[in-house]
Amino acid sequence: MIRILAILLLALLVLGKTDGTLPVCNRQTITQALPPVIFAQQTIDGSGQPPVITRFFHNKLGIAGSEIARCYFNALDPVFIYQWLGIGGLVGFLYFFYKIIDGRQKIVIAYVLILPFLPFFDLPLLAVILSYKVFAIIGLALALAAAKL
Amino acid sequence: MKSFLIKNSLLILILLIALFLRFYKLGQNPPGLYWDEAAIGYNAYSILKTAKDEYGNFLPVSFRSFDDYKAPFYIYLTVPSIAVFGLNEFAVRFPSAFFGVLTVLLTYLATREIFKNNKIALFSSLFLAISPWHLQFSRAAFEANLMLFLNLLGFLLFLHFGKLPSKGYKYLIASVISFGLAFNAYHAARIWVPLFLLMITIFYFKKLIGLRLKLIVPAAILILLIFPAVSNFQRATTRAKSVAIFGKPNFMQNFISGYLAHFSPNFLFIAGDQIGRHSIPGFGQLYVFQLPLVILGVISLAAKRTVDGRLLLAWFILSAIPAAVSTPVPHALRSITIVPLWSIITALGTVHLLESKIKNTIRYLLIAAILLIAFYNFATYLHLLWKHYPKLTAPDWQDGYREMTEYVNTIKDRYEKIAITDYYGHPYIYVLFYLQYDPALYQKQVNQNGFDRYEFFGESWEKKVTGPVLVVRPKWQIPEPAPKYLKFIYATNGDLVYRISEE
Repeated sequence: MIRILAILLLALLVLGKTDGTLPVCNRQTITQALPPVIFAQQTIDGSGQPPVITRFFHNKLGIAGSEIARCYFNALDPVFIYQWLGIGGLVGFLYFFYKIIDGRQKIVIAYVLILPFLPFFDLPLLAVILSYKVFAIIGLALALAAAKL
Repeated sequence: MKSFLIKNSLLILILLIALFLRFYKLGQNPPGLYWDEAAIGYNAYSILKTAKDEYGNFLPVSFRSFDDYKAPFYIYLTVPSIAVFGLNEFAVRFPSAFFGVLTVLLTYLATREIFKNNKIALFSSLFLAISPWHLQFSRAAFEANLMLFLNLLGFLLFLHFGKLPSKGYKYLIASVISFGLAFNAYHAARIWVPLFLLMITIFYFKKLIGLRLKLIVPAAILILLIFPAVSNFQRATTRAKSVAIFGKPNFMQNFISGYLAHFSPNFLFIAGDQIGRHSIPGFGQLYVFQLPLVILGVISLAAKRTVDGRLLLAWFILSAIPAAVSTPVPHALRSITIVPLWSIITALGTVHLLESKIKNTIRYLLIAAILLIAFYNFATYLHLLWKHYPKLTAPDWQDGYREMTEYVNTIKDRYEKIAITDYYGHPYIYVLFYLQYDPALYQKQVNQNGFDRYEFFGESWEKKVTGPVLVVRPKWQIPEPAPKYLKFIYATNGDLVYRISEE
């Protein structure tokens, strides 16, 4: 009974937390960012350097990859998760993540890892946040169930 | 000897890599010399020549410098370096680079002690040897790098004591001395060292309490070593007060956000610290190839049921606290104690992958992919470090002061006064440093606004003497009518820094 009450209370706290913002980061911002970034990098390299080396280090693929990773990690940032889930929710989320890796839940792992791509494709951020909240509550419930009370 | 070299050939190779990456062109890159480095160098020079700091204080336990009361240990360690190499950039950075290499060795020894696995230990030291985070702070006079070394040394000695509590008493004494010195090496150590000591005391409580009266000696040594900083508390915390978030609104929320920011994937793998002196712009604190290995490593570490494994996990969790109680965040320098742990965790992940029971084809494919990305990451890092970094961060390192003072030195005797702008910060220390001004002479006239024939000015300069004056203005100060310009000083990135004129 105490466990159920505790889970309900924590779930309410996790659901009630609404605080965070996410920088705009999607296909459009990356497309806009690419030319000036490449220009800046190549300017620093200077004209004296063989073009092959410049291309090797500063190319569309590498810079786009880095920008996409930046967008992706924005939605996986612990500060962002804390802002939306609270500290208890973050702990629950991490425990959930640990449990699915430990239990080799491949489909769930894939789902969790794909979620942060949604804002990148202009899909609603709310889907990411709500999923995180659900994961956090499941994580907290699992942790409480495992705890020796 | 020969068998020792063969047996440890991989470790020796890693140490040579660490040595090369830390010492190669140490005096030239980072470009210029940050004012804290110049202050460390000149105060060490002053101690060497007069046994007093720039203010004339005899062997101080806290260096007043820019009224930030610098921790003393790094400055004292710079004295022999300056005695050998002279007063220059290399000599000031030498202790940091030297202890950086030794930290790589200590990481190997500590990891081997904890996991009893040579492979994990070798990978840990390799990842630290090439770590962008550790290299950044080993290639400049950062006191925090010395603190990291002493902290790791204290930890390793404590592990020896933990293994042999009855015979290992001497290790406990040595460990306490190391922690005491770490306390005097860097401002943030005053938060970190007590926290760390508390942590290892909790983990080894039974062994420590078993020593009974024998505990008095290490406790007394520790008190003796931290006493100077504690007795000087008001001054020792001057710097801390200016950056701390204590007593400010939303303290708890800011603390948690600040703490978590140190584990942000963007900070770790993509953007790094935003302060130019703390990381290479556009490059993370860790390599991207480490990401999957770190995930595997954290899980592997969390699964360790040994006391030392849990101790490492606790260390990992606590490391960001000294940085989280201050601004700005995330702060790579104040959270430097986490750096060896990232390497150890990556090594754990690597060995976990190498020894995993997944199909050989998949495992080899994964290893090949990670190796390929690792090669590209490392090559990109070296390219950015040597090609981009000097150009992008020249202003962060006050690049231009050396060229300016060297030029001034060649013609100074022709002028009654030499007026130098203070726009780029603390010009007096650069004049003292680069001109190797006699410390005994300066101690008689301590004045950061001017000494000897030098004067330092702010927004504008006004002539107060009748004779010729050499005026060094920042690039944006263009007086009317135009004076007779003698020289323009440019930074490494080609930007104009100073206009030197005769008036």
